[in-house]
Amino acid sequence: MVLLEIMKVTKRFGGLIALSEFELDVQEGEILGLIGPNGSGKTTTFNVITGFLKPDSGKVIFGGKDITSLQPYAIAKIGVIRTFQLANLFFDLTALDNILIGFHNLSKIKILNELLNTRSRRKKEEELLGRAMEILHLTELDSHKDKLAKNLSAGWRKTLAIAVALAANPKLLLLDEPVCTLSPARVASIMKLIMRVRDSGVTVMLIEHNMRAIMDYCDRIAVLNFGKKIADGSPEQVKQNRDVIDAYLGM
Amino acid sequence: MRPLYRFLSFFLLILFLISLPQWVTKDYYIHMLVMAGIYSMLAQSLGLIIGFTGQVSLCHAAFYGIGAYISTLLALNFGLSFWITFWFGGIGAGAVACLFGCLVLKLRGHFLAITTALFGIMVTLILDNWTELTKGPMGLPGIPNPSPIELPGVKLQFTSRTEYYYLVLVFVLLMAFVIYRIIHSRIGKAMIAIRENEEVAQSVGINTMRFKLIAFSIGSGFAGVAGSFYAHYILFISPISFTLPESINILVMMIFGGMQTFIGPIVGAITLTLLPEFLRMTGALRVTLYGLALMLLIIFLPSGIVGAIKEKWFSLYEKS
Repeated sequence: MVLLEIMKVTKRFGGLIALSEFELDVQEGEILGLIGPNGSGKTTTFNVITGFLKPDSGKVIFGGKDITSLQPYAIAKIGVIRTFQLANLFFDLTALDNILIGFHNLSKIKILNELLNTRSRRKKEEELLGRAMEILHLTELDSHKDKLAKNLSAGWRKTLAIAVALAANPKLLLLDEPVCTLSPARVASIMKLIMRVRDSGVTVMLIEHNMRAIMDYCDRIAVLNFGKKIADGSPEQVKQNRDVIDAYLGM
Repeated sequence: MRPLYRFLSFFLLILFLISLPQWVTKDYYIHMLVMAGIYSMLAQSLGLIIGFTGQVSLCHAAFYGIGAYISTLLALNFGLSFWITFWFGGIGAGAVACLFGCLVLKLRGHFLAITTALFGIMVTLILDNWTELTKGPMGLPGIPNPSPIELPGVKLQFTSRTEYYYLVLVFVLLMAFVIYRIIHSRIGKAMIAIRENEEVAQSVGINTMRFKLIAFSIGSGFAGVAGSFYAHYILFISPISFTLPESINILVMMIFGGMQTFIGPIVGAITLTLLPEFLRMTGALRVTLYGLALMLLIIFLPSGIVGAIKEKWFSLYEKS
């Protein structure tokens, strides 16, 4: 079943065409890799999907609903959660606090409960704390939970960004270069985490330059070049695609 | 252990504050305490906007003034008492802030600061020139004090400064309670998220515009309440009390005390209201020393007094 449809999206920055009638479907439950040379439009795609950029033409449909003109927070609320290329976090807050803020998406705020600090609210807070500890454990961040995000190493920051995204209860998780710059061991454990996340019912789309990670873990790969999709298929198909080799892998 | 300590120290503080007028007998000093209370309300409400939500508002005094004028005009033209007018002052200021906020809160950083500063100047100009309504720079005298109320055992007429002191104490504590609860709620968490990183806040589903509006409206509304109190205390208002320099004055108090903390702004307000009076003995050097103290503070304690204390506390804590 198709979860996300990107329909003929064009995005220009002045004279530069970042995306040119770009079309892509994301199937529910898959791990889709988005690859392409630098500057081919991958992060722009994420920005358009999540509402940080509005396309000049074309539509983005999520679960049958047109989300093209929605604000980023509204798109996040319906379950499309993204990370950023340079692990964007609440740097002056602890890892734990970062994750706790991620939970904002989960339920509506009941004003009276908040103002009077009712027992039901306190119980909810405890529940959320428990969930946060689970996520910290899942992402191997337990020992770093009280460290300020800015004091974490680059690798742990990327991991934390994924943890925060998980806290926001995604239906579709968009990861922008989640394992770039990480050691092979870390890459493997993050990719395995992503598989577990997918197995728990989340659809994942990731941008990556690490070919090993992409080829070994993605169900399907889409290749971008100069804002256009030049290939779309299984890792084997893409590996052998002439256009892809010319544009990207051959380099 | 911790919560008990907190409760005890809070309780002792309240006892101290309640008994204060017993030993501070000079009327002039009581007046200083009342002003410290008013500035505490102004500083803590600004702390909600700038300290917790990161939205730089340089027009806080304008809302202080809007609240004061709404209250005054209702009292002078319709004979309403403070107990009714302060609601209108607060809600009126909050409503103006909400409308204004819808227009400008999409701006960030320096642009927001400049725009709010200009708004403050605009309000001053309106107050100065709409003389049919506000009598301009001549001001509005003859504001009635709050009508007497009967409490078990005592009747308050609000003819002495001490009675005003207790009233401002109640207002400051109630306002502090509401702000405390907001800060420690999920609303507060969202505000902190917006302050720290608006992009990430958006990407986890936080409606940043809505929370900025909430902070701005409530903060400015509370400034309006402070303005109302001021009007029914000094019994005379004029535009000069609500200008941009006054906004900056409140801003400095908030920063001085520690703007990202709950108590900071209140500490800053009390210190900076009382300090100039103590410096009075130094005569001509007073303003120089005041300026010097502020400069030293910003350089060496940028997170304010309370902020610095908290940081020292934590580093001690961590070492043990």
